[in-house]
Amino acid sequence: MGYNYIFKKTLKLFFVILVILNASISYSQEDDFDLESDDFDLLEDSSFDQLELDLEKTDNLILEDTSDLSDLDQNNETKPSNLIEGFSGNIIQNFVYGLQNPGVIFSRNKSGVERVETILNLNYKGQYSSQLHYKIGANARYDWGKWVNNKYQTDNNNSKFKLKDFYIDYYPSSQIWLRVGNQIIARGKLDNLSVTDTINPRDLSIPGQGEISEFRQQVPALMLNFPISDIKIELVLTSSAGGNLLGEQGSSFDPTIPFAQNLANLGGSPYTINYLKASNELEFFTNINYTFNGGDISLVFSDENQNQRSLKSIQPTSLYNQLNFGFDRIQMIGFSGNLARGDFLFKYEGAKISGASFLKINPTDLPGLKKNQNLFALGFDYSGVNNLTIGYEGNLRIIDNYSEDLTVAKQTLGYSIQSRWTGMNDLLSINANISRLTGESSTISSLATSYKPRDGLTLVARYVKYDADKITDTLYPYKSQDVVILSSEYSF
Amino acid sequence: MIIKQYFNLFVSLFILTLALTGSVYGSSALEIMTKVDARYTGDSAISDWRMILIDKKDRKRVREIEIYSKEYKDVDKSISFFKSPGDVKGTSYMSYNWETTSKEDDSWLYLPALQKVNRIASSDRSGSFMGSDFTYSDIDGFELEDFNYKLVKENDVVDGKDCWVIESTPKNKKVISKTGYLKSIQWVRKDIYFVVKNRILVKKGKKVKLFAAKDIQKIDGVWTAKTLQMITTKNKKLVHKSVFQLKNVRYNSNVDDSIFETEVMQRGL
Repeated sequence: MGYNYIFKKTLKLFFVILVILNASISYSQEDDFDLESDDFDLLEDSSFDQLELDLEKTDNLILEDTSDLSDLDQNNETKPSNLIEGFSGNIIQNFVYGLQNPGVIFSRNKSGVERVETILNLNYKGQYSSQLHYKIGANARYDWGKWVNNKYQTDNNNSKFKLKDFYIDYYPSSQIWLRVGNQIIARGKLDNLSVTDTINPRDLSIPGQGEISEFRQQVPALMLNFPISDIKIELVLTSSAGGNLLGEQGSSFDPTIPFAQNLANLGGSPYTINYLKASNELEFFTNINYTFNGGDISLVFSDENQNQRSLKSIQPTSLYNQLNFGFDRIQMIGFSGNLARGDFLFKYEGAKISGASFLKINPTDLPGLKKNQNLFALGFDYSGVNNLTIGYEGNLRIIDNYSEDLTVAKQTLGYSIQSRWTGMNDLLSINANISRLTGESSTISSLATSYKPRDGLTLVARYVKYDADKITDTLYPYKSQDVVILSSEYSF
Repeated sequence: MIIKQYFNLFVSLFILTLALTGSVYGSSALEIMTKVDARYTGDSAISDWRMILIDKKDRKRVREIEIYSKEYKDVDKSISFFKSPGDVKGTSYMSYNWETTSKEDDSWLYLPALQKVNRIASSDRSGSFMGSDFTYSDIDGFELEDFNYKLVKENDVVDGKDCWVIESTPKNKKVISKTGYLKSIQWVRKDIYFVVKNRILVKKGKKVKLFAAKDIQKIDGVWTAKTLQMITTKNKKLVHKSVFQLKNVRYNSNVDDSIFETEVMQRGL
C-alpha cells in the first residue's frame, strides 16, 4: 500500500468529513433556534437575571483602563493619512522535498531535497503629488543548491533578480486613473479556471506549489480606467508581455520532456527549445464593468498573444532538434460576472476565442490547426458554515468546426474544488484543493496548513500531489513529482 | 358568588395590567432603540483606529486601520484601509449598507497579494472582521427592524451613568444567520442614547461576547467612544479579546463620493 493510495484516501476522507460537517452544522443550525419550539426555551437560561449573574463573573474581563496598551502605540497622534505609503515586503524561506523518483530524465532522479530557496520581496510606495503616485517593487531569489550528477549539491547555488511592480499612477481627476509601467492587472471573476483573466502571463514552472498571487507575472502596460455614467471602462495596452513561464530543462516540470517522449522522429537526438518572438508585441484589452446591488457584470474584448505558446516548427540540425515555440494571435470577446445571494457568491465567465491553434494527433505535422473555441466557466463560493469556505469552479471548452485529427476532444471539461477553514482568530488556516485540467484526467491536489505565531510571521506546510492516468495527459511525465513544502514568511 | 365575581374581576384586571405593562415596556424599548439608531453620528467621518487582538495568553497583535465613511439618503458607505502590520498592509474592505431591507448589503475585500478586488457573499457578515472578535455585522451596523426589543431593567449604572437595559432578539433565522447573534442585552446610556455595554449570545460555538464602549467624548458635536472592546468567552472563560482604540477622527470633513469605488481599494488613496 503506497503513500499515493493513503493520500488519495485521506483527501477523499477530508472532503467527506467536510460534507458531513457541513450537513451536520446546517442541520444543527436549523435545529438549534426555533422560536416556536421548546428549544428556544433553552435560551431562557440566558435570561436577564442569569446573564446579569454571569456578567459579574466575566465583567472583569473588560479593561477599565487601556492605557497599558499604549506601549504598543508607536504613533499615537498621527493624523489620517491620504496614502498608504512607505516600505513593505517579505522574506520567504522555502524547503521543498520530492517524495518520489521522477525518472532518469529529470535532474533529480530520486527522492530527496527538490530545492531550498530564499526569496526577498521589497516594495516602496510613494507620491510626488496628490495626483502622481508610484510604486517600485523587486524580487531577489537565492537557490541554495542544484541537482548535478544525481546529487543535490550546495556549491551550485545561484541568485536571480526580477523587477515586479514598477509603475506610476496618475489621477487627472478623482475618477480617472492612469497606471503606466510593470504591473499586474488581475481581472475575471473566477480564481482558478478564469476565462477572461488573460492579461498577465503565469508562472507554470511549478504548478500547484504556491498561491495564485505568486503565479501572475507583471507586464509592461498602460492602463486607463474611467467612468461613463455608472459604467467603468478600462483600456489596457501591453507591450512585450511575453508568455507563461515554463520550467528549465532538467527541472521537475521541464516542458521539453513530453516532446522528447512523443516525437518519434527525433530519435535519440538531443533537443532544445527556442522561444520565438511575437510578430506583434502590442496587445490590447478592454473591460467594461457595471456594478449593481448584489453583483457585477463585465464585457471583455481583447486582441492579444495567447499566453500559452504553441509548437510552431521542429528544426532539425546536425547536432540537435530545435523545438520552436511561438505565440498565437487571438481575439477574444467575453463576459464575466458574479452574484451574491445569501451565503453564496456565484461566479460566471464565458468567451469566444479565435486564432488559437491545436496540435494534430501527429505532433510533427506542424503548424497545428487554428480553430475557434467557446469557453464557459461557472463557480460558487459558499460560506454559510463556521469559518469554512467551500468553492467550486467548472469549465467547458467547445471547439467549432472540429476535425478528428486534433489531439484534443471537441468538448472538454475541467473543474477545481477548494475549501478553506480558518480558526483561532485567523491564526490558523487549512486549505484543500483539487483541480482537474481541462479535457484530461490529470489532477493536481494539495493540502496546506498555515499558522501565524506572531504578527508578520507565517509558517506553512503544504503537500502537493500530481496524478495522470493517460500517456496523453499533460501531467503524465510529471506524475512522480509530488512534494512536501515547508516555508516561513516574514512580512514587514 | 360575589366572591367569585370579585375574584374574576381581580384576575382580569391583573392580566390587563400585565398586558399593558408589557406593551408599554415593549414600545418603550423600541422607542429607545429607535433613538439609539437615529443618534447623530455625523454625515461623514475619517478616522484612524488601532485594533489590538489579545489571546488568552495575553499575546497581542496590533493592526492600524484608516476608515472613511459617509451617509447617503438610502445607503451608508464605508471603506477601510489596513496600514500595518506588514502581512495585512494594503488590505482594504468596502461596504454599502442599504437602508431598505429589500436590498442585501454589498461588500468587497481587496487583498494586495492577489491584487484583485473580490466581492463577499452578502450574508457572510457573522464572520470575524480581520481576525478580531468583531464581526463584519458589528462593523457595518445592524438594522433596527431586524430585532424585537424588550426593556428588562429601567435603571442600571455603568461607569457612573444611568442606563436602560434592553434585550434584543432576532426576528427570524435570516437575521441570526446574518448577524450570528441569538440574543443580546444592551445597556443604553439615558442621557445620550449610546450603547455602552452589550452582552451577546453568539450562535457559532455557543459563545458569549461582551462589548464595552469607553472614553466617551463629544467630538465635533458627535458622541464618540474612543475605546471599543469585544471579548469572546466560552463557559465563562476568556477565549479572545479585541480592543479598538480611536487615534484620530474628523467628522463632517470633505469625504469625496469617488473614494467608495473598488478601484480605490486597489490603488489606495
